[in-house]
Amino acid sequence: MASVVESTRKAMDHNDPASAVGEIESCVLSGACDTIVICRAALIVFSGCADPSLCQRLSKALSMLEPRPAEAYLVNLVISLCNCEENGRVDVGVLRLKEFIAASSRRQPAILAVWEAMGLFNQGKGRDAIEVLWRIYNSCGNLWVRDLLMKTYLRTAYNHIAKEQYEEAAEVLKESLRADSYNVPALHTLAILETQKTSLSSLDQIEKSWRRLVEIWTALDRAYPEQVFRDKLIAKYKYFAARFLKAGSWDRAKVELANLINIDSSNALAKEVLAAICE
Amino acid sequence: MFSLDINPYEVLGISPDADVMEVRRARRELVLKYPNELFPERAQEINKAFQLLTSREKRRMVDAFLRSKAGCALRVQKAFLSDEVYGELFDYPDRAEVFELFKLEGLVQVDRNALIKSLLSILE
Repeated sequence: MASVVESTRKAMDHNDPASAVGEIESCVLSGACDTIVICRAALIVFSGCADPSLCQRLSKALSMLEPRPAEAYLVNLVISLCNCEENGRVDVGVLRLKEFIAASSRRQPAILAVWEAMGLFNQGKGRDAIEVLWRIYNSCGNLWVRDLLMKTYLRTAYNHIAKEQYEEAAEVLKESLRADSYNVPALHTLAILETQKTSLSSLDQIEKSWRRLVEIWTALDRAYPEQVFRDKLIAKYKYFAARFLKAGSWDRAKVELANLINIDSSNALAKEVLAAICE
Repeated sequence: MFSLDINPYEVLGISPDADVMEVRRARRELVLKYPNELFPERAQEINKAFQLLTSREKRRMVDAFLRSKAGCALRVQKAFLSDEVYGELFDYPDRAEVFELFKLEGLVQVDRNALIKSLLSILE
């Protein structure tokens, strides 16, 4: 019955997750398979299928297992994957997973190395943590690791901000943007710092620091019109329209107002003011 | 040259086509809400706005100013630089999530696909 992993893999290769689930169900019912083998087979199904009804069947089958205490957390985790949406996130108990890996003497997955990096960060060794994460990312290319890496940059920047070291925070953010120029939180945080805390002198320069972010928000707003990006764009155009008007930069104000009206055509004040300054 | 540092309509919370009766009513309500002893600056603004809008000549100048470029700038200051706008732009993004991420002793939220990959690599 150890071949349940092989038969599951074969069924998934043939795009037939229902048969794969059937294999696992009969394996559980027969009681002949090792818990870990069944979990592995279930994970193979999950890696290619998130169909809710099949996940429900798997969840039911997995709950019939009677794992040894050391394996209970693994089963628990695999069941929680059954109930997770395709692009969702799962709660993982770090210590419990670490205990499982230590007890089973299995090889350390990248995820543990990531947690080690985060441990370094918690000891105040932010730079070391970033280096470790870069190493892991370069070796596995995992997007989740990349996300963590970017968040580590962000958290390092926030630590500088908390100490009012704004220029240092801006430097860290710029470094993270050299690695990922689409990192919206880093772009946003940098734009905030450049507007409020650092030494950019002219309003033109300050507005420029928002442009890349505005490009990305605009693209996101087109892709996800119901989400928050439109409110952010509206806020940006209002803020800079008001600042340019106050500074008497009429042409720059016109651009901001026109952009504002373009995405919020119900804004009567913006229309009125644009008409007045165009006269 | 006539100039303003407040928008009297905004101060009294009335529309530009409000008649004198509405101006008086608005002032009366605001004076009760912001007594001079407790809110001297606000009370001063309310009085100034009232005087500007109850004199026909001054009101004509107010209206002309608010239509000018400088007047437009004044009109948008309060409307466009609201707390909501500041909140959207200047609240640090993902801060709570990023801080949560480093609490390693409890639960960590892991992307579904990343977790599947990691567990498979553990079990291989």
